[in-house]
Amino acid sequence: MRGLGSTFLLAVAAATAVLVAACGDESMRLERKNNGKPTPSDDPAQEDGTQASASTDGTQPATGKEYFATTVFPMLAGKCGACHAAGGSAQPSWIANGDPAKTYDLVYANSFVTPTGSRLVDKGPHAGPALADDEKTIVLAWVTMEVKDGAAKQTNGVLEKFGSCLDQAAFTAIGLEKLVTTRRTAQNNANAVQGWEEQANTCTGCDNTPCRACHSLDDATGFVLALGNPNLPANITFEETKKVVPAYLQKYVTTGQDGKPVASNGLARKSDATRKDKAYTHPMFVIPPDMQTRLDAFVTDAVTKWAAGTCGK
Amino acid sequence: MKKTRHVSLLVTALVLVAAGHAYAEGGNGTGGGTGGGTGAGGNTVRLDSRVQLWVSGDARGPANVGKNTGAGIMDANFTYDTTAAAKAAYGTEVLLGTTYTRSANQPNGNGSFMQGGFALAKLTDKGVQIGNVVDLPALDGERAFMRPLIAFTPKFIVLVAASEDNDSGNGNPKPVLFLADKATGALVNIPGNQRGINKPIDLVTVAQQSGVNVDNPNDQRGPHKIVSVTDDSFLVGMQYNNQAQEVFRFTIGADGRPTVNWLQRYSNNAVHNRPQVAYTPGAPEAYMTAVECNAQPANIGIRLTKLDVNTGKPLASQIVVKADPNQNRYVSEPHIVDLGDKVGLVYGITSKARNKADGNGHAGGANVSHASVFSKADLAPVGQPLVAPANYQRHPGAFAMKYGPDAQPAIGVISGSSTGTAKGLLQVIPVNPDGTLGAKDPLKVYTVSTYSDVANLQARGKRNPNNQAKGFINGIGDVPNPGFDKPGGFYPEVRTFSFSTVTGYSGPDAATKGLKESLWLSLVPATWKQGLSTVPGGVSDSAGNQPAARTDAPVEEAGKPSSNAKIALGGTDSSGCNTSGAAGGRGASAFALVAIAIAALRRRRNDAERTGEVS
Repeated sequence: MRGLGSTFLLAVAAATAVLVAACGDESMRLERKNNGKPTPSDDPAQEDGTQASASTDGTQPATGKEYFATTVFPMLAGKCGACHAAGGSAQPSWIANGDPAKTYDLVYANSFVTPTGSRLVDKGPHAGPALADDEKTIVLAWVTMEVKDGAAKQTNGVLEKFGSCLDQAAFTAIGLEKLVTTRRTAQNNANAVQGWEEQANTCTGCDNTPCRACHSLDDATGFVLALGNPNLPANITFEETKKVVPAYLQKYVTTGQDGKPVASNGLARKSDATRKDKAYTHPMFVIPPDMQTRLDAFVTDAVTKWAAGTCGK
Repeated sequence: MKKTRHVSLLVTALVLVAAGHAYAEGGNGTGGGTGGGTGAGGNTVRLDSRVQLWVSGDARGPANVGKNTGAGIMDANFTYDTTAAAKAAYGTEVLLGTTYTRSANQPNGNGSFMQGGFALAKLTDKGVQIGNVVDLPALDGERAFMRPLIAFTPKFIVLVAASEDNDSGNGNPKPVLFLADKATGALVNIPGNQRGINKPIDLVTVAQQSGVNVDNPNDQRGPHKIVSVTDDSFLVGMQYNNQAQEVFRFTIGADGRPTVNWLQRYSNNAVHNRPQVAYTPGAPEAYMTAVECNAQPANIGIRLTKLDVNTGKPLASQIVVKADPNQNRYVSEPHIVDLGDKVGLVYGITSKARNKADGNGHAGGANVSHASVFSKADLAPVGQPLVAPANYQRHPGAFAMKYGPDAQPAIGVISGSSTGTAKGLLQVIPVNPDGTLGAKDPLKVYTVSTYSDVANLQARGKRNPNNQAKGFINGIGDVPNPGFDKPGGFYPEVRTFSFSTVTGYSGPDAATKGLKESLWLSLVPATWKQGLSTVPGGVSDSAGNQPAARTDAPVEEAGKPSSNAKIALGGTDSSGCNTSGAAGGRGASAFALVAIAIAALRRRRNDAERTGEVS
């Protein structure tokens, strides 16, 4: 107990009291705020009300990696593992069950850590909840330690270098400039969603509108598609798509349990989400089968080249 | 000992977060991490935005938004009191006002639920005091009170809108005026108004009575922007009959009697142009901009006009941004900001994807926002346009502001969600001393509101003619903070704010149910104490009630653009770290949290040093 003076203990006690009071209030507030759950196709990057896991096992980490293993991993595994661990329903699959070291590598493989923060913190409610504030604090305290440790791995994310694997011809061949919205009507309500139908020409881009209408350099939307926009450079969509911050690339590629790039099917998943959402939220869009085939080919080509070691190194 | 440090690290980090929560909750806790206290050595401040519900729209109007229902609260305009007397009182209070189109619970005789309203608030050295929320009298016509504008005189609240309830009575909207008492919010009789206190006075009639020649006075006219020339005199940018750019100046007498000083047309070839005006107090000239076109989307360009503020006579005028339909390049929605000896324009470059414009400019193309600066002397461009300064490209707004500890001139580019479910964001674009524009910096992205809705719900159902709708977002810079540098004051570190009223959902329930728009009051810290470094924070309805959270994180990086802070058009930087705004906004917030975490780490280190431990 040397070094744990009475002042420090008092501070800890006071701080704990403050934390309990403040976080308790906050949790209640957030729970109320989250009564309306995010809709399937929304990702407004807002906080949710999930309780924090602020516990520690009491061991002192010498490095960020140790802190990750003792504190960050248990929290993330409990919070995100149901969907993002091996066999889970969601991409990316970045949590290795019972294996903090492997998960640590997967977090880096997915470029979830940057010198200024973490996508784990930025991620809002999606199919699952966002991290609570105190959980974010744990992640950021860890990021801080990683930076202190030299941040040697922070540019080693597989995805950060993956852009060189993308083939522009294959990307162009997808024909994403033809991707448009589809108005929700009684005829296409495959999931029997209540509040489904949209009136023609009375909503923002719900009816046969090219996706570029709202995604031409709209960085706040997290997806870039300016193909067919005559007022931007022709290759800007391809070049921007290589970026992991904002998470443009992740719409196409993520990593598997082995840390290697795999298809994320991000566009297909988004399409599916819009087909389950209400009227006048994110417009519904349907990827034509032939376009999906070309999209898959584009991703497969890039992943194959990466595996062959001809790019992304 | 390691265990001790570990516990210390975590606890200290959590203390700081708890303190932030306490701060965010309006002081329910006493977190030792906040306030001047905390800051022992700490001089980086997390700047949360003050965002609170001002006028709820959820219970207003029919259950379902459709044609002529309005959208709860929409098309808000807002200002703060800049009269001489008000300025003299800035040390204690600043009067804020907003006007909007509200949904009434009953339709008028023309089947329209869209009526007018206004609300007041005071910004004091202790915080925001919400004042009167006033429903204006029900007016007649399908377009009863549209695109309203607000200003203050020493005695009155000035409310101008486009209304079919006018002297012509032919179904064409015209600019009309209500006056309300600034102290009580009650409507006042306007001398010369033959229609009584519950009807606005027709400003075209006033113009004619003032001896001003008005072409086709019974035709449609819609006001779109108001700026003060003096304490009691104003310029209004006005669209004539969906074809012409006009500006008029009017003055309110001490007894409330309005006179129109002049009304001038600047282009007769401007479909759907929504003229915008800018003016520097005391200057002999003002500036007007609008699209020029004979079809929509705007196919000629953006006109910038310098005009004599006393006569309206054009002094210089030219197309400063050209459209090129042959290259599928059109222009849209210029906003003008006064930058001293220069003016800035923020506008859209758009494309046309289909021949289905409905006369309103929508042609299925894509907007890309641009910002440009022009010399007031000769209207010549200064530097190169900045591409995509907004975080959302559809219908961004722009305003002049000062930014940072040195009050550097800047353009605030404000934008919001197309689906109504995401944040409003403010991207600050610094203006360099030579007038060129600075970079788009992710550390200069501020959250304006939790929800924003730009032309989504407001456009549902729309209305005749031509399916018009608006529902855009904008802001005002340089609102003084009475609490600045006062112990216990409101945002004691903050000298001025950017002010906005944002129409958006009232909460997640409304967001998921698509109910109505409400009105949020938003104050974003804009300038602050010298020597203070800051990071953008989040939003809270109690931000500023206590001194902001502080940290002793590395301050030297806090306010500077990163080396890769430029939008990379057609390329990516070698680090793969790009700077776009969504990540910018969230990244900046994350940076703030990292700063707090770093503070925790340093405290751990300090604790270790104090206790003799070795890290």
